Amino acid sequence: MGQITRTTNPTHLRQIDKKHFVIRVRDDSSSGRVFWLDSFDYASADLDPTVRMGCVVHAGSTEEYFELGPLSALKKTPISIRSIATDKPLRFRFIFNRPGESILVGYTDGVRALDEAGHLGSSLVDIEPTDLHGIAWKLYIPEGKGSGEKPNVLVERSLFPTAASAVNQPWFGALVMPEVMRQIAMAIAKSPSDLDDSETWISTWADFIAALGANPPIEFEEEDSLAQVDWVDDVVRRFAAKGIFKHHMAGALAEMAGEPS
Amino acid sequence: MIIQVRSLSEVGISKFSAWLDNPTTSAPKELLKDEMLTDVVEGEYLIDLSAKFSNSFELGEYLATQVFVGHEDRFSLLANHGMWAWISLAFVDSLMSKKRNSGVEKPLAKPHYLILSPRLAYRLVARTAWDLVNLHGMAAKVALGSPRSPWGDMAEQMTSRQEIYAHRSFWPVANALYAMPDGSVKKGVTTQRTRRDRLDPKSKSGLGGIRRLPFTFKQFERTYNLRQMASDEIATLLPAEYAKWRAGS
Repeated sequence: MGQITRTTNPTHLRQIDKKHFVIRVRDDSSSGRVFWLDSFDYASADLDPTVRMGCVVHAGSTEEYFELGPLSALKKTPISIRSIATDKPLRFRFIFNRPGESILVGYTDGVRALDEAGHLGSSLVDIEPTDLHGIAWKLYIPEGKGSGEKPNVLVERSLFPTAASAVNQPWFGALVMPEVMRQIAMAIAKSPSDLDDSETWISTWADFIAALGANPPIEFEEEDSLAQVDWVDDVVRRFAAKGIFKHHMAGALAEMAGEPS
Repeated sequence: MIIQVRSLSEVGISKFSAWLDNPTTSAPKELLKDEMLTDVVEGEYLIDLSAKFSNSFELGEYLATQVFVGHEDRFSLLANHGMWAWISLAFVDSLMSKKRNSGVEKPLAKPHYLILSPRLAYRLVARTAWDLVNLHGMAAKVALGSPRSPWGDMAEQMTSRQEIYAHRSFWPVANALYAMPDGSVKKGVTTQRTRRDRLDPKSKSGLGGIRRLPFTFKQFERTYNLRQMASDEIATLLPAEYAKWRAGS
C-alpha cells in the first residue's frame, strides 16, 4: 500500500474554489440577520447537478447547518441566521454529497458574503460591519497561519453600516488604518519566514511590503523587540504616506477646520 | 418564593465575589432583593428562589423551560453578566461541590459563578447550562448530569472547545457513547491518555474517551456529512477504539 502524503488524496475529496459562490447577508427586520445563496456555478466547478449541497454557517462558537438541496435546484431564498454571533467574523463552509450517501465529494471552507455594495474586495484586509457593543473597531488577526485566512477589521455597524462607508470615511483612514497596519506588521515581524511560505496568510503580504519600499524583515532575535518595533514603525510610516491616506488626513483636517466636505 | 429575575450591580457582584473568596458564612442572599444593588431584568421573567437542583442539567432545564420561555434574543441574555451573577447567587446552594465523604459543600472556582473574562465565560454553570439545554436538549445531560459536582470534567471537556460547543451532531453522539440509561456517565470516559500510555502499544487507557472524540469527529467531518447522519450511524462509523463505549455500560 502506498504511503499517504500531503499530496495524495485517498478519499478523492475535491476542494471547490470559493470563486464559484456568491453569498449575500442582510439584516431583515422580521427575521434578524439572513443569508442567501445568490449563485453557485456548479458547471464551472465540474459538479454533477444531482449532487446535494449543505452549508455550515459559523461565527466564533456559534454555528448552524442548512441543507440547500440538489445543485440543479438550490434553495436561494433568505435563511435566518439569528442564532449566529454578530461580533465575530461570519464564514460559510459548503459541503457536497451524492443523494443517499453521506461521504463527501467536495467542500469549500471560509467563504464570505459579499458586502451590501456587492464587493468581496480583493484587499489584504477584510472590513466587516458587525455589532461590537460600544467598541468602534477591532482587528481580528487569524489565529492559524493557513493561506485561506486573512486579517479582518470588524467595525461597529451603527457607525459604518457597510465596508465602503468605513473605507471612505476620512477619520477611519487617518486613525484606524495605520494602527491596523501596525498590528499586522508586528505579526509579520514575529514570523518573518512566513513571508516566503505560500501556505500562510502572511505570504500574501510580501508584495505589499515590497511595494511600500520597506526592507524585508529579517529574522529578529527573540529578545530584540526594539529592532522589531523599528521595522514596524518604518512600515507604518510608509503606509501612511500613501496617497489615499494623505487624502484622508487632508479630509479630516478640513473637517476639523469646519470646511465643507 | 417566585419573583422577577434581577441582575446584580457592580457593587453587588463585588460583594458576591468577596463571599466566594472567603465563604465562611452563609451566602449573601440578602443581596438578591436589595433595590440598591439589583435591577429588574427586562422581559418579566419569573423565577422560584426556593427551587433546588440535584445537578446542573436540572438547573439548565428549569431556566430554559420555565424561566426564559420563548425568548429569542439569546445573545442579549448571554451578555447580561449581572443577571447570571444574580442567578448564580440565587441557586448557589445547588452549585457547590459535594465532598464524597465529609459531606462538606463549598463553592467552586469563581468563574463558575461570575464572568471574569470572555475566555472563561463558558464556565459560568447556570449560563452555560441554560444555553446547552436550549441548543442540545436532553443531549446536554451527558455534560451536565454529574450528581457530584455542578461542573464535572465532562462539562469542561465538552464546552471548552469552540468547534463542538454548538455542533448539533456531536452532542447526541457523545450522549449515545458515554451516557448510561439512568443519565449518569460511564466510568473512565474522561480518563486522559498520558504520554506513557501513548508510548505503550498495549495500553488502552483513555482510548475512545471524551478527550479524543472531538478530534476524531472533526477528522471524520472532513470526509462525511455528519450533519445529516443519525447519531447511531455516526457512532458505528467511528474507529475501533470507540467500540467498547458503543457496547459498554
